[in-house]
Amino acid sequence: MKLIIYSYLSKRRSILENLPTYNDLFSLFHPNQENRDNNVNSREGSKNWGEVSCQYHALQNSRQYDYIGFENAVRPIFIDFMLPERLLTEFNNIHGLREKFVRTWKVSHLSIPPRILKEYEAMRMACDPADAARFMRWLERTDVVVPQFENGSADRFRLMHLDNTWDLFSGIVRKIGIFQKIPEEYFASGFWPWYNSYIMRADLFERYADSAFTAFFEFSETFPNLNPYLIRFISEKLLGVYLSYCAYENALFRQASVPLLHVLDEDPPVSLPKDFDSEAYLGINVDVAIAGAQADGHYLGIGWREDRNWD
Amino acid sequence: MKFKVFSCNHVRPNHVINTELFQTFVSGLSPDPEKNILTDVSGKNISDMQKFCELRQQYYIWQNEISQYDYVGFEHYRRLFNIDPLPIESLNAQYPALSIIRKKITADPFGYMVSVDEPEVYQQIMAMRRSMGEQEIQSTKDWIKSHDVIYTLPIFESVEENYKWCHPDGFYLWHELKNQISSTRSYSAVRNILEYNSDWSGYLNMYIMRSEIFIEYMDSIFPPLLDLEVKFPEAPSRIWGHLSERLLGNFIVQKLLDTPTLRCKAVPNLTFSRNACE
Repeated sequence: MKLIIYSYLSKRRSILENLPTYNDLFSLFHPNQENRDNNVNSREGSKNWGEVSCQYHALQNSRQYDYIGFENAVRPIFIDFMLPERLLTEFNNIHGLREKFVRTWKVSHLSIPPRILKEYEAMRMACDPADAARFMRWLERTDVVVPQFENGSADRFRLMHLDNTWDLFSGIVRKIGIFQKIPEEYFASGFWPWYNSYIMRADLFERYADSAFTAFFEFSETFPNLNPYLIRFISEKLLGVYLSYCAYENALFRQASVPLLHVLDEDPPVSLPKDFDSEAYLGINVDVAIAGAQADGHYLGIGWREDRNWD
Repeated sequence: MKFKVFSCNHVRPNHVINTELFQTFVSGLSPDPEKNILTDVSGKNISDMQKFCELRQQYYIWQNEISQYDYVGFEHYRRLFNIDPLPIESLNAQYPALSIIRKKITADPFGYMVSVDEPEVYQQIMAMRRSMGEQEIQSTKDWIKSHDVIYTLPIFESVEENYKWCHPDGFYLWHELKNQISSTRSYSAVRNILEYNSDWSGYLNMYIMRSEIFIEYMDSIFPPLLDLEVKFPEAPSRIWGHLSERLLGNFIVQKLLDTPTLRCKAVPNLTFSRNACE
């Protein structure tokens, strides 16, 4: 079985420095450094698609895999596959995360400081063939792995992005590929996985992404003046629509849920991070823009604690 | 791969099922002349211990039949798993009432249970289960094999608190159970029950497990519960069944802590009103 997980390398991740040298299983990805990704980058506005550009790259270039995964390098998917004895002695903090996840059950993310992210990355790098085999065995018994839903529906910040645009988008996507088969009510669902992070069986991914990207491009061209970051949020919701339909189409659809790791500093920042982009911050965090707040003041005040993005 | 879900009853039900994957099991019933109903009056059993509720059936399978199976499952006569292997087109055409159930479940991924009042739904479930062809049986087995433990979606409440308000007359036995467990098992094997408890539990004595895990679960719950049965003969009715519902979640948590990549799946249960399953 062949698997690749793309870890999208945002500016935010790069400020943490000491990037891991990933192995065959996990692969760092940055669209600006990816030569073969011209199709996305040459399109107007697509540089703001963030993690979604990773998916397009995979659709075009990763047909040899059985499973394809996506995550943001600053919010990796939490899957631990080491035996507890080794985890306790070598990666004690990761063992702590396992305990927290197992006991709380429905948690959608685990907040960690940067040093624990590095420990998690080190654990991934240290996995031996038996660990990898255990992970593969776990994965091959699922059709899709997604971030766990927490409170059941999307937060207001996400909904604000979609309030005026989801109907426009669904008018386009419902005429394309697999989405033509999906009943209308599935497009009104309030449940969906966030952050464009998931691991999916390659055939299911291809069926989804082929139609999704046709719709994303058509939508961007039809409505060129909309928020350039919108596709990220539309993509999250569209994935939720697709997965709900997969479960409706086949009640034995196997969906596994895991939390994401959110990296938060332990102390409030004293200054803005290098590369902080005020325009992008307000574009992504529309609730902040609508409230008339300044990007830098908001980030230094509460934005950092809320894990707000600027890239 | 051999797998069966036992539908646990305390009296003979109107709807009896006996297929490759499903069988009616009535505790304490005299053997059925047509052999469609499994009973536990022979072999090693606790059929006369009413306070063990559905654990009586689990005990019987554990003691007498588990070597035959790779996976076993238990459900209530009026609380069922929605095991539904048909493609949506076939379901719509053949079992329209079940199509509505599937839609409800898909629309609410957190729905702990789907309440059903219509007898038609129960009848269609039984009809679908009886008419499963080779392909549907194989799809179901493949799905089961993809998991180690399948249990019902939990309620998010502290196990201890939930037990306290649900069964105030038996709350003292929760502490007795913890004492019993701590005196007979190693701390590391039960630390989750003794110190942390879960903030969730399945509560329904309803699950499907890989046989080795089922045996481990039975090995872990029966010795302390049988000891308490002797020690507290005046304990409230159905008490050991209620206590074990709380132990299931704790057992799963403990297994997850010890076993990376254990595949657990929480699914909704279909709860039928009494009229609907008659």
